[in-house]
Amino acid sequence: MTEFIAALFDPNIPFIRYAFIAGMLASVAFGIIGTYVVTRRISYIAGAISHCVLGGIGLGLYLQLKVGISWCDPMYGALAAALAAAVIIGLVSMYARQREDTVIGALWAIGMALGLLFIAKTPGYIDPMSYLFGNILLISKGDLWLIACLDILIVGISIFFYNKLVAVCFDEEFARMRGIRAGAYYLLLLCLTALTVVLVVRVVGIVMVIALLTLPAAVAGHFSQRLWHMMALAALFCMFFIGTGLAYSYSYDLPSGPVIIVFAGAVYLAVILGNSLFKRL
Amino acid sequence: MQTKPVIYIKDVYFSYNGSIVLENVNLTISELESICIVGPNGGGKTTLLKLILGLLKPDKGEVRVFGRKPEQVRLKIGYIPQYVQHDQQFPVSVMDVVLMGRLGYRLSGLYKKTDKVAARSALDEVELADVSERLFSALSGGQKQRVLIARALACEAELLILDEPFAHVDALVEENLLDTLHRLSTHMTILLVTHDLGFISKIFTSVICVKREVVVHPTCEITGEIIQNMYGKNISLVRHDHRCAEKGHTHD
Repeated sequence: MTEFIAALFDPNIPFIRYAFIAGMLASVAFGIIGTYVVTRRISYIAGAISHCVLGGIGLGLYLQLKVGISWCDPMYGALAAALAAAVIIGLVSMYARQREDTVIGALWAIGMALGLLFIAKTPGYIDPMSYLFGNILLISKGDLWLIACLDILIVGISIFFYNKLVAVCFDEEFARMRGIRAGAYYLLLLCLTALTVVLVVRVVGIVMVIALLTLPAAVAGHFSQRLWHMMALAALFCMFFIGTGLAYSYSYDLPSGPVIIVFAGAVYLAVILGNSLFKRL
Repeated sequence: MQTKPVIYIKDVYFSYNGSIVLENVNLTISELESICIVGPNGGGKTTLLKLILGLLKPDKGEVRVFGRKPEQVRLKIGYIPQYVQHDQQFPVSVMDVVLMGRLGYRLSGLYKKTDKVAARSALDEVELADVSERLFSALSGGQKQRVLIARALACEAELLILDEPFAHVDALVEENLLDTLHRLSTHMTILLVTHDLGFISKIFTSVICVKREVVVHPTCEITGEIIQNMYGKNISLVRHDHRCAEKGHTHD
């Protein structure tokens, strides 16, 4: 652990520092949105959105490298795909009389398939692994600004609309009866989730998004009496998971994403077991 | 000048996926009436409520609440759902739930001091002021039901609509709830849905029977024959007051 702290302050390896700062900043958004995702029970929607992100990344790479649109960064593709997936799922669940989980499953797979096809047709060797499993060590200084802006946006919206979002998550029908446009707030929530998912993809990769969105909030839920307690605690737990995960991955030369997730999962299990033991005493 | 009816329904038809749920419904409810809606399961009670609340649109006909379209006057309606389909671990306090009744057309979702005062007095009304800081999910079924009533009261509604409020509560709680409703009935129009005929109590001015069609009876005229026509089986009335009992006092 001491060598990790030393590495954080080592001017020669800034990427460790960037990764750490990115993790801490992003945890704020993860905690808040993760809490909504867990209490509103939309973690599978978050999963579908994250897998659609690969489609956007693939399209971005294809446009950039094959078509030659140089400003078209894969991150823009990721953002666009995530938002599109969120809007599609939201509209389908509100208006189309389809089984929501079928649509979610379909988008999940189609997003991935499109991404792989685009990557296959893009010249040069691109390893989809780094997108699937993430690499927080690739984060640049510019990314930190992006993450900070997104934090401000998410925290701002969450505070301003806090009570309405709580009401919509708790009892949508009643919220509608109070003149709240529940559908619009649900879409807003899904779009915020999409933005957060893109951030999480940078940290732990597409496949493990659900875990980092839900585990901190699930752990925090065991110690919270109010939704905003849960959000704050979830953000703190998330910081703890990412910080510790990074430290271990650095010390033992392991990929950071899986270490973060395994550690978060272990803490979650311990809290559940501890809780049920405590209740029996 | 004659007072406008609170609820006015004319020639309403409604169907789900082609099967008719309600047909030819005509109904007028005036101010300060207390109405009990009864009928068998699947008879269309909840559908009728949702039409009045504007959550569903009729295939044909007209629904007016306070003389306007239901969705335009929602803020005047306090709705108490049968149960809240919320996450059982949703971390929200009793006070927070009641405060939800104060969310109106304001853009921001922040509460003001007046909202908290109103929420507190609504909790006093249902005698739950002492648990206001408790976790909502930690309450008993009856307490939850009273919290939902307080939430509807905090809306400062003129029309209170309750969907099966006694479904999950015991007899004592039911007595308390009926007392509360009786008190409220002096200054609010109340509409209560139940599938349990035992609740046709004297606090209600009329009973509405819903089974595809809607028939209105003054409470006193409810007889065993009407009930049997509606439910199609030999059902005994549980006596709640002397005027309306039929077939004596049986519990089966």
